[in-house]
Amino acid sequence: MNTRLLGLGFSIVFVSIALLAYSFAYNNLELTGVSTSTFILGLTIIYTSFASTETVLNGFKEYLRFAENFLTSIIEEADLLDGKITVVKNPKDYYVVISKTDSAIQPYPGLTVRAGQPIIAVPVENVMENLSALETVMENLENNLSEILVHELGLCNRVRARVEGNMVKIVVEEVPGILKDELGRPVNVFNIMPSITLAKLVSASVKLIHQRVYHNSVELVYQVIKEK
Amino acid sequence: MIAKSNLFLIMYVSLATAFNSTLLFLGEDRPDAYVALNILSFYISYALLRPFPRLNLALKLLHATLLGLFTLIVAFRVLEVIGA
Repeated sequence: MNTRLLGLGFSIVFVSIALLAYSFAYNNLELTGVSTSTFILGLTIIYTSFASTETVLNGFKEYLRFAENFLTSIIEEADLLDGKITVVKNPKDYYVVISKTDSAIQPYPGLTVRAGQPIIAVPVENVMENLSALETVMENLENNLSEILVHELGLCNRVRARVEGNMVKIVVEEVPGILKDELGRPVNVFNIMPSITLAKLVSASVKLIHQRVYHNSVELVYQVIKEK
Repeated sequence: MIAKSNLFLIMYVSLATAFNSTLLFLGEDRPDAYVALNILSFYISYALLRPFPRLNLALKLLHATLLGLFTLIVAFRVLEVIGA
């Protein structure tokens, strides 16, 4: 459901009802025609707000399942099921790194072994590169995260964030029913997308040190690693 | 790139506005003419852009409402002509 379209549709319907009442009161048939037409337009926008995102989600959900199966089997093979997720900021690039050791300083894309420990690094510079909300500085981190995760990406209905020193706690709440079963996977859309968003917003490396999955929400605790 | 659904809404709103303004300038005072042309502009935009690949319940209801309304308007006009 597209809440912005829904709001727009209801606003148009309310205005058209007011115009309709006015046109009846003053017996203005031309205005009655225009307001009835506007009422139908508002109604159409309300209906389309329920349809615009749902269909495309079905296709992406299936692809997401495939991508997660692919990634999970690699993670299992590399014995990284209990590895930590870190988004590492390089001068040129951002990498999502999964490793058991401390966050990789200079990650190389793909599956590598360093000091006997496997490391998976995926470059994510092109992920969310066209989001204008990433460039907009809002009054606090929660507003920024909400604009991106709720309004731009539609991953959940609510985001809460709390900053304490170099620790950031993000709670992704009310995830859509269609994506709820993704929450149990080791690497999923709800721990990867907030991690990348946070790293790009604070322009630093972030390490996911703790996550707890609830019924339809997930709590993520990050350590922000500033460059020395 | 603008999403197809957004392009559809832009086209539909533009067409509906153009039809409404034209009827208003012509001094048309039959409300059903405005409604019929609005529904027509919806289907013109829909046929040209096909914004939603699959019909879900909300869209089925929308089509039923619009087609029902259009049929009623046409039926009343036809009855009016036959009656006259």
